[in-house]
Amino acid sequence: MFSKALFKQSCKANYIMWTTITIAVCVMLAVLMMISGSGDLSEMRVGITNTIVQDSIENESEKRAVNYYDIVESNIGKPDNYQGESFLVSYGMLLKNAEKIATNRGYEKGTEEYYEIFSLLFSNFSKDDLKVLAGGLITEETIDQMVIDTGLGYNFLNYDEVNPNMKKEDYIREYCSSFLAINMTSDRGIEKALSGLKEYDFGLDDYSNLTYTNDAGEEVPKFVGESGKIYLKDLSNDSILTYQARLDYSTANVTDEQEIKAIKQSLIAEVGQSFLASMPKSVSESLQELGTMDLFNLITGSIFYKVAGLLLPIIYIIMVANNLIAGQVDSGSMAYVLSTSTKRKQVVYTQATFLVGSLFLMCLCTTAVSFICFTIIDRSMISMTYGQLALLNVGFFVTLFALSGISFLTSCIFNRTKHSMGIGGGLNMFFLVATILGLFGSKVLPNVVRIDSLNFFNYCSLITLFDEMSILSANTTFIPKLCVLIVVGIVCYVIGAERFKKKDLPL
Amino acid sequence: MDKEVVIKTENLTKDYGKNRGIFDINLEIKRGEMVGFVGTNGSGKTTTIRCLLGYIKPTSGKCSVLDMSSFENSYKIARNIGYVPGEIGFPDLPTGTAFLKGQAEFFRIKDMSKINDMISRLQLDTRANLKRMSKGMKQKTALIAALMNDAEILILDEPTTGLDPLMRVAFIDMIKEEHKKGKTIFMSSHMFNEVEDTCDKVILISNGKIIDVADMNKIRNREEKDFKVEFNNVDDYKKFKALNYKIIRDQEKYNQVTVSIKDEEINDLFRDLKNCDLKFISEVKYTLEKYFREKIKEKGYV
Repeated sequence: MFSKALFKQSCKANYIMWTTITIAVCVMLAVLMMISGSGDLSEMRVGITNTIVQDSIENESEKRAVNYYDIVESNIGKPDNYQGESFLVSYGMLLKNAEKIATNRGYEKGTEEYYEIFSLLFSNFSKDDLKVLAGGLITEETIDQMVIDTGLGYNFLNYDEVNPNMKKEDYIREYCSSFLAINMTSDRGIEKALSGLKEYDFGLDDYSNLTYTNDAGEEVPKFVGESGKIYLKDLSNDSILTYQARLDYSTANVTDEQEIKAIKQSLIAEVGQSFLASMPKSVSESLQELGTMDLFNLITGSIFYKVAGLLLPIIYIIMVANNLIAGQVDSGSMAYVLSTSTKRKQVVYTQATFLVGSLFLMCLCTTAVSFICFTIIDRSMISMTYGQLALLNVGFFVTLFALSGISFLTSCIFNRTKHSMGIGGGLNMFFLVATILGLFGSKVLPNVVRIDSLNFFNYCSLITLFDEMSILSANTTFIPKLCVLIVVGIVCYVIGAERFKKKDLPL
Repeated sequence: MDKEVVIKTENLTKDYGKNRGIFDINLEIKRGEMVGFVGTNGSGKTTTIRCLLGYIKPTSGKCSVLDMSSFENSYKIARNIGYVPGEIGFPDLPTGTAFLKGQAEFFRIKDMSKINDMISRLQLDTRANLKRMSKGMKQKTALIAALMNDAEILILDEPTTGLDPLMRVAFIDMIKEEHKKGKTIFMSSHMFNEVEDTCDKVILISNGKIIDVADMNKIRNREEKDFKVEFNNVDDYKKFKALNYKIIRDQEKYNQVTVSIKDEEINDLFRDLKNCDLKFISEVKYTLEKYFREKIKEKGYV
C-alpha cells in the first residue's frame, strides 16, 4: 500500500519548499500575533472607545444644559404654559416637601445648602419616593423631567433673593450649569450614565479614568467628584453661552413667536448634537462598532487563519500536488517509479499521504508557534481562549486539507502540468481571492470599511466553510461546516486515486 | 524454434481517433531475440511500447508480457522489464547518484557494486546535476537504471536519438552485450541503419499498422545482389543493355545501368564486361530501407 522509497523521494524533492513556506507562515503568524497582542491595538481600541464615550457624555451634558436653559428661560413667570395644571399642583407639592426637608435638616433659607436640597432631592431619592413626594399626581415617565424642571424652577423662583445684581440670563445659565454638574456627578447620575454605556463594556473605573488637565496642570477626573463638577459646569456654561449668542443672532430681526420657537428648536437640536449623531448614521454606527470590536480576533482569526495565512500553504499545495503526480507524468519520471513494480495504487496512496502529512506537519508548526505567542502576549484585553486558538488551527488544517484535495484531484486527472496547475491551482486561487474580496463584505469588518455587496464572494468560496466567526463566538455552527470540508477533501482524494489507477499514462 | 514467447500482442488496438493510434498489431517476440521496431515519427512505436508496459489500456485486443496481461499486471511485469523511455524525464532529485540510489531503493537493491561497475564502464560522472546532464549522460543514466535489476526483457524507446555517432556505437555495443547474456531486447528506432546492424528481426510500423516483419539474416544473406555499372562509351553501354540482364535502373545520360545479379551468375557478368570500357562498377548495398520501400510499394502503402 505504501512505498517507502517513493515517500523518501517526495520528501527529498519537496522539503526545501516545505521548509521555506512553513518558516514564512510561522514568522508571519508570530509577528501578527505579537503585534495584535502587544497592546498597541487594544490601546487604539480603548482610545476609540474613550473618545466616543467622552464625546457622548459631553454632548449629552451640553444638550441637557441648553435644554434646561431653554425650559427655564421660556417659562419664567408663566408656569401655565408649562405642563398644565397637574404639573403646577405636583410642582407645588414637591416644592413644599423639599422645603420641609430643608427645614427639617436645619438649613437656613437663602444658603446654598438650602437650595441644593432641591437639586439633590431628586438625585438621591428613588422614583417611588418621588412619587410619594408628588402625591401620586404624576406619571412615572414624567418624573425624570420633573426632577430637573422642579429643581431648576425652584432655583429660578428664588433668583432675585440669591443674587439680585445678576442679569436674569446669567443667573439662569449659572444655575442650569451648576444643577447639571451636581446632577451628573451624583451617584444616581453616574449610574445612569454607565447604564447607557454598557455596550462599550465601560465600567466605573474606566469612567473615572477619563481625565482632563485642570488649571493647576493636574490630571483630574472629568466626570466624577469635585473636578468633574467644575468640568461639567464649565462645559454647560460654554454651551449655553454659545446657544445664547446664536439665538440672539438668529432672532435679532424676528418678531413672530412661532418662528422664534422654530429657530430655538433647531438651535437646541444643533447644540445638543453629539459628535456621533452629527455624522451619517452608518458612519456613527461603524465607529461605535470599532469601539466594541475585538481586534485580536479579527487579525488573528479572520485575517490570518482565513486569508493571509492560507496564501503560502495554497502555493505549496498547488506546486507540490502537481509535482507529486501530474508533474512526474508530464516529465516522464513517473516511468521510473512504475518500472520498479510499484503499483499505481501505491503511488497514489504514498503521494496523498505525503501531501496530507506535510500539510499536517505545517499546521502543527503554526499551532505550536501560535500557542507560544499566545502565552507570551498580554491577554488582558483579548477574549480569545486557548481552546479557540486550537480550534482555529484545526480549521486551518481542515481547510488546507480540502483545498489540497482539489489540487490532488486535478493532478491525478491531468497528464500535463499546465492543466493540472491551471485548473487545480486556478480553483484554489479563485477560492482564496473570493475569500479576500468576501472579507471586505463580511461581518467581521467594521461597517466603515465593509462593502456589503462583496459578501457575495463568500458564497462562492470553499474557504467560507471555515467559520472562524463561529469558533470565536463560541457556538457550534462551525462543526458541520468543517465536516463538509473534510468530506470534500476525502472525496477529491478518493476520486483522484481511482482516476489515476485507471487512466492512460503517456510515459 | 521452440523458444518461449515473452511478448505477445493479438489484434492490439489503441484508437486515439482521427486515424491516430495503433491498429491490429500482432507481435510475437521470443526469449533471447533482439527485435528492432522501426517506423517514422508518429507511426505508433511509443504507443505500442506503452501498451506493452501497461501504462495505457488498449481499446481492444490483447497484449501480454510473460503471459501476463499488461495493463492489469503492469506492476508484476515491471519486475521483468528494464525500460528506457523515449523522453527521459528524471525525478526531481539533485544528482545522478541520488537518482540511481533512489532507484536501487525502489528495487530493494542493497549491493551497489554492480551499479558502480556499470557506471565506471560507461565512464559516467553521476555526481553531475540531473537537470544539466547532456543527452548522452541522461541516456547512460537511464540505461543503468533500466539494467539495474537485471530484468530479462529490455525495452528501449528510441534509445540513440540525439546521441552523437560515437556515443551511439558505444551505446549499441552495450545493448548488444546484454543481448549476448540472453536477454530479450525490444528496441524502437526511426533509423533503419541502426537496427539493421544489430537486430535479428525488424518490425516495420507505419500509420499504426505493421507493414512487415523482416528477418535480418535473410536480408543480409540475399542471393541476389545489385551492381551499378557505368561505361565510358555509348557502344558498350548499348551492347550491355542488349544482353539479357535484369536491369533495375537505367540512366542513359551517364551510360549507367544497375543490374540485379544472382550469386551464381556473377561470373557471367564479369565475362560479359571483360571487353568493355568501364568507368566503374560497384555493388549497390541492399539495405533494410530499400527492402521496406519495396514492401511498401508491393502492399500498396504510400
